[in-house]
This record gives sequence, structure tokens and C-alpha cells, in this order.
Amino acid sequence: MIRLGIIGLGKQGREHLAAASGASLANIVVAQDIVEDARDAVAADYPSLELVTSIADLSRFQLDGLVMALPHHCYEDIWPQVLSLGVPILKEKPLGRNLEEVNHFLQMAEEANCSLQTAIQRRAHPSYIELEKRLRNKGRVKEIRARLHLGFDPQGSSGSWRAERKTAGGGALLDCGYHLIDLVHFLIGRFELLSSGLWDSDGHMLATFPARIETEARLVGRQGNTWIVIESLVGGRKDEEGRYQKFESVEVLTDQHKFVANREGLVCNGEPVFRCRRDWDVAMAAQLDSFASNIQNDTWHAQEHWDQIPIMKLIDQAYLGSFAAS
Amino acid sequence: MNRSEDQGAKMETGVSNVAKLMLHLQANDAKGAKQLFKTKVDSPWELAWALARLGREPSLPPTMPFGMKLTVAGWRAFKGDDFALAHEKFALALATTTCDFPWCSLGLARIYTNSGSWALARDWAVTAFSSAQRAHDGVMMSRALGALGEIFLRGGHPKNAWECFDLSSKVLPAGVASSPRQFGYLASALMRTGDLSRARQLLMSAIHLTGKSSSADLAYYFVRLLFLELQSGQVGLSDDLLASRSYDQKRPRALGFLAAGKALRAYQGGKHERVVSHLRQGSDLLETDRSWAGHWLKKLLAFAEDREPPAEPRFEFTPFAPPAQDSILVAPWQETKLSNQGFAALSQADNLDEGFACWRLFFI
Repeated sequence: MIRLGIIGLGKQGREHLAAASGASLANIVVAQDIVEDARDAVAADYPSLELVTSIADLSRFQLDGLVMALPHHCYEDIWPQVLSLGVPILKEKPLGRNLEEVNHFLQMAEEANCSLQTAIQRRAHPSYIELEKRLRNKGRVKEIRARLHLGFDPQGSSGSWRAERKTAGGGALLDCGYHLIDLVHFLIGRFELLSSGLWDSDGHMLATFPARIETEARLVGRQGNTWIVIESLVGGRKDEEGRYQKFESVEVLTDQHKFVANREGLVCNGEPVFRCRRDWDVAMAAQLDSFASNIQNDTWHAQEHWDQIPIMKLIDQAYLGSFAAS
Repeated sequence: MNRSEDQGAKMETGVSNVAKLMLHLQANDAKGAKQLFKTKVDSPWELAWALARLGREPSLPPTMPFGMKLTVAGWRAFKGDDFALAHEKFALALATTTCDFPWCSLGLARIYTNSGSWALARDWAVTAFSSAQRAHDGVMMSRALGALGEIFLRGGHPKNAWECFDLSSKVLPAGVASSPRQFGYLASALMRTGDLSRARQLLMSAIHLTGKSSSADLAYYFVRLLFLELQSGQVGLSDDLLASRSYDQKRPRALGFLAAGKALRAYQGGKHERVVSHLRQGSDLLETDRSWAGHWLKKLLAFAEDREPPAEPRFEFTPFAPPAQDSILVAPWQETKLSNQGFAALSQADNLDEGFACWRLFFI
């Protein structure tokens, strides 16, 4: 069994802990968080889990790898210390706040001989795996429309680290658009960006107030004759009571089929063809196992690993396109 | 029956079926019209004959396919502001051809944009785009996206407009450069999202890229600049520029909008006489303009002179919808709410304040 430690016990960190019970190759043995309340929050649920306050403390546990789930701006300062532990890292996406930071992290990790894998769950979710499998034999993909609406009030995140470009690196695009770009890469491969519309919560183009983050991102891209639309929103459509609705969907049009996938299953030409649980635990457990397998076999060449840099390049291109005068 | 009698009988049948065809089209029954054409009307020649009888035969090369002839005639009529005739030509062209005909779809989109049927205009622009997409025709895709952008702009969806204008420059094939006109379009969208400084940058770029020529587009850039300054409260910044550059005086609609902008500036400054004088000038320029643009100027003048507003434009055709598209790429545009009474705000405007606010309904 691969012994893992985790840094960060926020929402995402706790999801990794929960998913670890379903992993067959990995076990999380120790968790680190500087916030006492965060440690206390998991202590009761995981009595055998060791809890520590500093990163240096992790060196006592003979770890095979580390999982990192921190706010985007927290990695910069602790990165050298984390690398000094000398173990492979599974880092929550995004790989960095921008391409420059990605390259910096990668270079330092390479110099420290620490392999780096990005945790990105959707391509490990059963419904999207099923979609990818079916697309292999269903003719040419003509169009893809991928949507992710978080269902939060776009005006409501002020004060949070996510609301500032400096700390978050970006908004709807870097946060949920990242998942959609990764899914499209997983389904059909890389594509060329044609247009990016990035808008803040007041409906202004991102360039007008560069310190703000985008709460709405729409990308249009093309791969040969295949067209791609990506729509990521912090908010989404409102219900009858004016509340923003969570929504996720990937539609794919081929020569003869129209697929609609979400985390609950897959529909082909209007007929349900696959159902699954929408929860993340299966996908996250699979990802922990994949990380563990990479550690065991020293295999760091998987597509999911190398797709991350093109995602960041595309996101950087979208931001630059938005900031530059057309 | 000799040959000429036979031909005459066929002609009569053709006339009758063409009339039926028109009825189908006017009843929004494009499917029925196509079916009738395929089964009852023997050849495009019969339709040509019927149209000639109505004095509407376009003089085009005889080798040109019939549907194309009609399309060309439709665009000629559109350019001459005869929207009813253009509508008839495009509808017939669509009924006579079984293949994708993006020029007809685009023509209908433009007509409906001008008449205020914006949801239908959007649907036809989307149809034109999808046809062009299937044919990998980048130039046509660009045109359709430009038309779509204009519809969203007028319909109060500037983010969609921006996307369409932005895409329209990106889908052009290699070697076909996007023009300063594209900057003007993008500026129009950003004026409506409130990104005024960026809109201004784009407009100034468009003006300078146009060079020293008196481009027809220049008048429209100046119109946008004027309305942008009215929005930002930085009135007068562009006066020197306007005075220093000559622009095409044969663009009455652009000049009419320019007069409306100057009138609005005078109105904001409380100079009533100037308001009237600018509006009178604009109204005179658009004296023969039967579109909503002409009506806007005339209605503003009527308010300024405390007269009864003029009668609204009437369009002698029945709009109809295109076949449904199965594309998911265009779905976001199709899901956007648009009205088929696009100029309702202008119809309901009851005073100068409300009248001036209607500038957003036009491609300014």
C-alpha cells in the first residue's frame, strides 16, 4: 500500500480523505493543516489519521507521496519546502495560477527529482469515461458543447481569496473552465482557441478592471472541422425563486449521434445508455490509485499528466486575448 | 395541341402554382412550399416566367442557376430598401433550391433585422452560419456572424454580440484580413457593456486604420464615437477629429445618426433650438427612408416640435421561420431571448427622453 500524506484540509482536502477509503493502492496516513479548526474537523471521522501542524512534521512518516489541496496562492511560498520532502506530488488543479507559475513549479520539481501529477477528476468519472469510449467508434465528432455552472451568486465571493486575481489567478475560466478544457482534451484531443469572452460579475469585459476575476467565461474553439464551445459560469441560470442553479453537461454531436453526458450518466439520441452515481468518490479514488500506481511503477508519462500544460497554455491565451486590445 | 399551346398551358399551370407557393410561404409553411414546388411546378423556368409576368424578372446571365438569380435580385431589392420585394425573392429562392443557400438565409436575416423581427432574424442568421459551416466557407461564416452580432446588439445582448463580432474576424480564411470595420463592430458591443475606454480605443484604431480616405465606414465610426462620448459624459473630445476628417456624404443613414447624436448632446445641454435644428437636418437626410431608422429621426423631431409623431413603418411581407437546426454550437445563440417586436420601445416612446434612449435599437 502506498503511504500518502495530505496538505490542506479544506473542502477539497476532506474529499480526498473520503475518497481514499475507496482506493485500493493508496492510503492517506497523515494530514497537515496550519488551522486548528480544520484539523479538529477531521479528527473524529478519521481516528487513525495522524494530524500535524507543519510541513516539516510530514518527514517523520516515511511517505511515498503527497496530495496537495490548498488555495491557489498558497503554493508559491511553500513549494521549496514541499519539494524538500523528496516525494511525488498529486497537486489539485490548476497546476499554477498562470503558465509562468506552472513552468516555475515544474522546473523546481524536476530539479528536486519530484514527479508532479495534477488532480483533475472529471476524466476519471465513470460517465465521461463511458462517453470517451463510445466516441471512439461513433464517427466524426462535429461539435462539442461543454457547460459547467457552479450555482453560486457571482457577486457573493467578495472577501474570499477566489475573488482576487492576485490570489486566485483567475475566475470561472481557471476554476471550472479548466475542467471543461481538460474534458475536451480527454474526448477529442487538443484544439485551437478562436474566441474567448471573459466577463466580470458586473458584465464588464475582464480587461476593464484587470484586478477582478471573471465570473463568466465562454470559449469557442476548433479542431479541424470540429467546433467546441465551453461555457463556465460562477452563477448559472436562476430558478423560479431567483436562486442560481448548478448545472453540468457535455453535449457531443457526431455524424449520426447526439450524446449528452453529465455526472449522472449518458444519453445517446435521446435514450439513456449509461447511468452512474454523480458523487466524486469513485473518480477521486481512481485518481489516488493512478497516482499510487505511478509511484509504484515510476510511470509519469500518462496523457492526463501531460495534458495539463496545454490546458494552461490555452487558458493563458484566453486571458491574454481578453487583456489585449483586439 | 401544338407546341405553343402546350407551353402556354404549362405556363398557366406554373402561374397558378407559383401563386400557391407564395401563399404557403406567407403562411410560414416553408415545408409545404417546397413540397409544392417539387411536385407541381415543373421547372425553375416556370417560376421565372411567372415572375417576368409580374415585371420582376432580374436581368442576369441566362446560364446562372435560377435560385441564384432570385437571390441576386433579392439582394438588389434589399440594397434599394425594398424589403418586401427582397423578401419575396429570397423566399422563392429558398423554395426553388434543395441545397443550402446561405445567401438567402442571410438576406432574410438582414430584412428581419431591419423590420424588428429579431428572433426570426437570429434564426435565419444562424441558418446561414450553419450552412456556411457545413460548406467550410469561412467568408460566409464571417458574414453570418456579423449579422448575428448586429441582431444581438440591437436586442440588448452585448456579450453575445461581442462574441459573434470577435468570432467573425477569427473564422476568416488565411489571407483574408479582418478590417477596421470589425473594430467598429466590437466597439459597438463594448459601448453597451459599459467598457467605454476600450470601445474608444477600438474606434480610434478603426479611424486611424482607415487612413486619409473618406471611407463610407468613417461616418459610422464617428457616429459611434459621438454616442460613446455622450455615454461617458466626455462631450466634445471628438469634435476636432470630426472636423478634420472628411467622410462619405452619400451615407444618409449614418449622417442621420450623427445628427441624432448632436441633437442628444444639445438636449443634454438644454439647448432646445439646436436640438430641433439637428433633428430637422437628420430628418431631412432620411426623408425618403421608410425604415425604423428614418422613423426614429422623424419621431424625435415631432417630439421636439411638439407635434403628433409620424406613422410607423409597415412591411408588406409575412415573416417565416427557417427549418430547425440540430447544431449544438449555435444553441447558446438560439437560447438567447429576442423579441419579434424589436422596435416596441420606439413605438412606445412618449417623449424625447424615451425617444433618444432608443439609439440602442440601432447599429450604432
